[in-house]
Amino acid sequence: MQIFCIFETEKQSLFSVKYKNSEFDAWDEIFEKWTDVEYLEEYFESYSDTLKSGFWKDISVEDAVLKTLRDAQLLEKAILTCANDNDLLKKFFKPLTDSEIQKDNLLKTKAYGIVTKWLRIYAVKLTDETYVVSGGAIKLFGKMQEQKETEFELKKLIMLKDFLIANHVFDKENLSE
Amino acid sequence: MKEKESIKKLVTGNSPWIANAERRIQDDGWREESAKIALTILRYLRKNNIKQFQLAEMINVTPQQVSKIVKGKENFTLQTINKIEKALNIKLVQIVVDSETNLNSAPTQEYSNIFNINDEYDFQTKLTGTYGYENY
Repeated sequence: MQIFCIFETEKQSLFSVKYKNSEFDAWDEIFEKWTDVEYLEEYFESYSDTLKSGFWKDISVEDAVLKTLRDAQLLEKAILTCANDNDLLKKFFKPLTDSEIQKDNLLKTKAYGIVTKWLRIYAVKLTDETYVVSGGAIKLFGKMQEQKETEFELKKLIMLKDFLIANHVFDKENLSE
Repeated sequence: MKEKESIKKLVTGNSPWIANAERRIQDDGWREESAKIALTILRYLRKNNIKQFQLAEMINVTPQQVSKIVKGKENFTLQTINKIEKALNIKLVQIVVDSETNLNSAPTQEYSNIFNINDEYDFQTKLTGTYGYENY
């Protein structure tokens, strides 16, 4: 596992994991996938039964693809403004679960899509202004464990957290776990 | 700020994301249309059980070229669109002749002289892929 810098300004920093044998760092890979029509069509086709369920109100594969493309574009534009030195990054990342809110550091976080309810970016929060991204997914079920892609993302998030602890990114006396 | 300094020591490279994102945003005008065409093609191929390599053979391009097309990353020429339309017998793009628009925005004398613009018609290309962004 390697750490890549996505951007760093005076106010805030965003980093990403680059996994062994992966062509892209996790952050770049998210947007490569979410702007790839072929990937999205296959993905939503594989969940076409889920899209027909009551929760998603019978959205078509075509609409799902186009909404995702639109949302990825909006998200990308919004994060680019963060790279231009505002301090909005902390507003994107929310605690992964309610239990995470109690912790001061090593917080597992998620960022949402702007239009759709299903885009997720996962990151470990180092400080209010510093985040390390482990990956992202299109989440179509309530719990991360209910879908293979999000279950895998949860494992990656925990793996990143362990990596950061092993590499002494945190002072032990400040570690709340 | 110990954490920030510690993570910076672990950094081994820079993500190409900013450059990639800026390129995507710069291209977003044609990429939106390209995505709609790609999606129309993909759904047609799936419905009719046609493989991408077969489409490549039908329109006489490489499989890599078809891959670029269905990813929505191709800045299509009219020639390519026409080849796909003929091969699959579907309509991807329609040219709309709109004389009303022309009446409301007649070319200036200067430009009509230089380019010999035909003041009878104003041609607009309009994508008519089945799926649109209009509702979002």
